[in-house]
Amino acid sequence: MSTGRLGEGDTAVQQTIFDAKADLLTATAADTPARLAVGTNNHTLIADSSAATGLSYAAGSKATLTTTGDILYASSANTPARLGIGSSGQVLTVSGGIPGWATASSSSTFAGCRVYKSAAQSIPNATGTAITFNSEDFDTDNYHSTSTNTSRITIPAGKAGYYFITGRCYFGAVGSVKPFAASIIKNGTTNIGGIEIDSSVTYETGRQVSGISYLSVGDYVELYAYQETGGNFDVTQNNNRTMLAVGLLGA
Amino acid sequence: MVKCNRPINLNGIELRQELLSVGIQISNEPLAVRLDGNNDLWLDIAENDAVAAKAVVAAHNGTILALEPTVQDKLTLVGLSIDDLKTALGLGGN
Repeated sequence: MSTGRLGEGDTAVQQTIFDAKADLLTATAADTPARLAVGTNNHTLIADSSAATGLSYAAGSKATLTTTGDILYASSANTPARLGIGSSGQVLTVSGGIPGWATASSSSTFAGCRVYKSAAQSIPNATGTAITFNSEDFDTDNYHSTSTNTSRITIPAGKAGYYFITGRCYFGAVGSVKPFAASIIKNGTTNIGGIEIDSSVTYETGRQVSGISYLSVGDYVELYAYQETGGNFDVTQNNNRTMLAVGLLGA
Repeated sequence: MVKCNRPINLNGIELRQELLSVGIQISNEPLAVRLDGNNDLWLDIAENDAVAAKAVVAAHNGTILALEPTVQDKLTLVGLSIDDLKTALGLGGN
């Protein structure tokens, strides 16, 4: 860089081009100096081909983030926006394509149902028989109906996942040792769990079965009872006797 | 599985024997003869045996044995209970 006096006819930037504190010297074209006034506090200088000087001030991260806990995101292309801090315990979620704070769902929310019989059901000899259930202990999401397909617990929309399934067939006492069995059947075909044990001759006979299975929306499970007394034989009723229950363990 | 109409008097052991007698193979598994929640009868047999099996089922009139009396029933007839029996045998009552 050379220094010295300007000669006559020389072109130089005159100091009068600056009018205010923080003015910048730029150019609107080749050999065309121009003044750029300072922008708003905390705005940043960006290249801007749409501006005459090719430069402009715009709100950047420092101008956008105004409060402790603020989060910077883009509300559209090249448009920074501020998301204020949420409340204690809230979690960051997405709604409508932008981030937001929401109350966390409780991890202890339970889904499932437990159904039982309030009347006895006759089981034919040596015939696996689906138990129908006319009473519900609880049913969080309409897994079961007491009017249609009452033998079934059906997985409702949004509740697919791994389930713990348990069922119990309770029979009356018999006069001699006979085989009794219970099975949990998925979609009418797949045996999830079953047990067959000879009865006692003194006490009522209960058969408890359980299993864990992945159940998709629309899948259903049923409890089947089986006995070989030679005649029809009842499974007995009440909440603590013949029942079927499912509980969602996780997706 | 082949779906059939449920006979009124259904005895799964006798029905299995009747099916076998006409050459239809069926398992002794508890659910090889089953009633679903709508009271329809299902047989775990080959599909090509369906017509013959349905004829067997339609003709089926199973024996329904009277239940053998339980120990409690027998004791009650002579004015005793299970606890009485336990006490008499030195096993203690409830």
